[in-house]
Amino acid sequence: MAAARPPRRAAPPRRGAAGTRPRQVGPSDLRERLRRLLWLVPYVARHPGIPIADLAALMSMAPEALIEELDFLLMVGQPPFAPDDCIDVRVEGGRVYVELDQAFQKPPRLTVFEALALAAAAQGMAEGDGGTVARAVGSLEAALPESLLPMYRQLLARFAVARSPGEGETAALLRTAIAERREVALEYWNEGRGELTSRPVRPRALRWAQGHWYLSAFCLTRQGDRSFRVDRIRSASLSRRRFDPLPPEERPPPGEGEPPAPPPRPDGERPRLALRGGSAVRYAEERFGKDAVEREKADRATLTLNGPADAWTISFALSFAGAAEILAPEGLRQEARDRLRKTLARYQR
Amino acid sequence: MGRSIPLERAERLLDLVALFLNAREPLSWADIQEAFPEDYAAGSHEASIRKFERDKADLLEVGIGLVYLQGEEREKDGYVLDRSAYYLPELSLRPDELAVLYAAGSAALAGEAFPFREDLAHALKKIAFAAGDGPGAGRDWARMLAAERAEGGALASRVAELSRAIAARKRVSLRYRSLGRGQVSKRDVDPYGLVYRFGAWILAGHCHLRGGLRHFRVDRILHLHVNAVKPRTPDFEPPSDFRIESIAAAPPWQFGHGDGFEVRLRLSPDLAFLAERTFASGRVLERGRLGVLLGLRVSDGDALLRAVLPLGEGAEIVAPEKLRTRAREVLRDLLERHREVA
Repeated sequence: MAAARPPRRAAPPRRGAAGTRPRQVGPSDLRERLRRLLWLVPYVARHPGIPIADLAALMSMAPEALIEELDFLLMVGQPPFAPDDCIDVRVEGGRVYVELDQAFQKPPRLTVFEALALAAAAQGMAEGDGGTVARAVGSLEAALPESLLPMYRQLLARFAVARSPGEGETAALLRTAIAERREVALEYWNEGRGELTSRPVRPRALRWAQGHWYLSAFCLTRQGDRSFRVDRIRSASLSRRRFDPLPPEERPPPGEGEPPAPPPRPDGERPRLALRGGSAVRYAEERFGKDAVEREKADRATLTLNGPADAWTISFALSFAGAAEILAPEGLRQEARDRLRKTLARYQR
Repeated sequence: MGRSIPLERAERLLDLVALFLNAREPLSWADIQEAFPEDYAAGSHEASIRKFERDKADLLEVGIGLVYLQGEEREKDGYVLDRSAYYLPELSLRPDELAVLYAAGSAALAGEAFPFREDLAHALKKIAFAAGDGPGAGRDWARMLAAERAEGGALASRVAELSRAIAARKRVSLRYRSLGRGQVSKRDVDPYGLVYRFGAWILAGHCHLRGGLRHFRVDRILHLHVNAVKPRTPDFEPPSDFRIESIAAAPPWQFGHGDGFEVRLRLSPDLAFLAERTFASGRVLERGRLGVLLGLRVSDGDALLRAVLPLGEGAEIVAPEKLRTRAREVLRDLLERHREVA
């Protein structure tokens, strides 16, 4: 290895000496940079020749900024800074190599806040999935030194992502189906139409957004891509039928963390809701933005929706518990009337 | 022999780490000064010590602790970095566990805000390191970390500030716009915890104005000020039994402030499965041909109506009569309005 080592610059130019004043950095920038570098060196050592673009993506950095950072690393070493005591970073043909002594072979352990943030995120995922989440969080805990555990546990009782009850088992079954490309028969509660439907689907992916899991799948009944909220799946059974890899989705998938949205529709067909009461108006503005809400008074407004499925709109209007009325389209208004009549009948017995 | 000009701080800190990781014995203050003459030996004694102490504190923030060891008899006194506590240990995560952390991490990083988000990104990088070279692993992790939003908005900085205040137990003052009356009020709050639920971050804490535990949606906080006096001394001690989980698990109809009351809710056979989902907080009183009858503890009746009415005829509030009447009135009024010409 020593023979293959390229000749090192006798004395790396000093940043200050070269006339470029070091940028003033605040304490959090400094820590951020330290953590970045203490991870980068061992990662490159473990993945010699990693393309600079891949490394930049992993670091959430622009490639140019990464190259600057690599230059900086050339100056790091162990006093008294003999050439062999310094980290030697090379970029050759767009690939990164590092030679170092054993000291930087691994990154530092997880800090309390690192473990805390990841554990809090993971615990929000699902329950009843055979303990995967609990085991993963357990491994994080095991990676912390004993002395930090009390602080970690105390803090973990203060940060959480809420779970939706009952999603875990379904999500676990769907994960298996996705991995093995097996068809699944869903019994799905269509909230809008107020009915339970049976659908054979070919599952593509599970996405977690705004506190819920969503299944994106190719629906064999509808012959198209559909999205299903996992806590609205009454039952799911794994079939033995396997399917070939699915073609790309018809529409681009939602961004990570975004709930699936139905396709936008032409202006004239957009559902419009009349809102009554200040809190309904403020809620609508908060959720859909001020542009979607046309205020008449502080407590009266019209909300124009950018195209949720018709049936969903009725449920959505009803979730205002009286403060929202469907104005248009007329067909939807009629549908709402039928549903209201049937529901009211339950309360008149 | 050390370098002849003072080093940029990041460089000095990394050099310190390298020095200590390779040290065979504790390093005395004299050893450290000798290694960094321009940094720790050029100024006054006090200034040099302060500089070193500040460097030590910065290293501690990223999880690297230098400790001073009093040597036994013939051993040398000095600072050490415990190598066994420094390195990331083997995590031995199974593929499904990695998948869960991957999913959790990508959702959290892609969201608008998350407590200690920068720390989360570092945690994931370390997990990626530990995960090694599974097929496609590196690429997947890169994609996830790339989803991290570069610039956080107002919500992200609120969540970040509140997270730090919660961890340091510092009091905060809020200007808060409540949804109900739309009024803006000024509140002093001891922040106990943060929870993400129904698409929003909620701060739970002791409200000094109301004299009790209250919840605040972070996106309705108009102005936030964290008590800056004595940042390292906590302003309050949260109740020892405080668990954010209990707030995370509580359904919206348990967020009222009065005493709760008991509600009976019937779900049709088609909807009976919601007894284990949306209404999992309830007790099943009857289960049979007619579906399920649930007993629910409720402190905010309107919030329950908002969950029940969208379910249509498959869900019915059976008791108490007062809430049932309210449901009937809402439905009757809505039906009337939908009969008129829009």
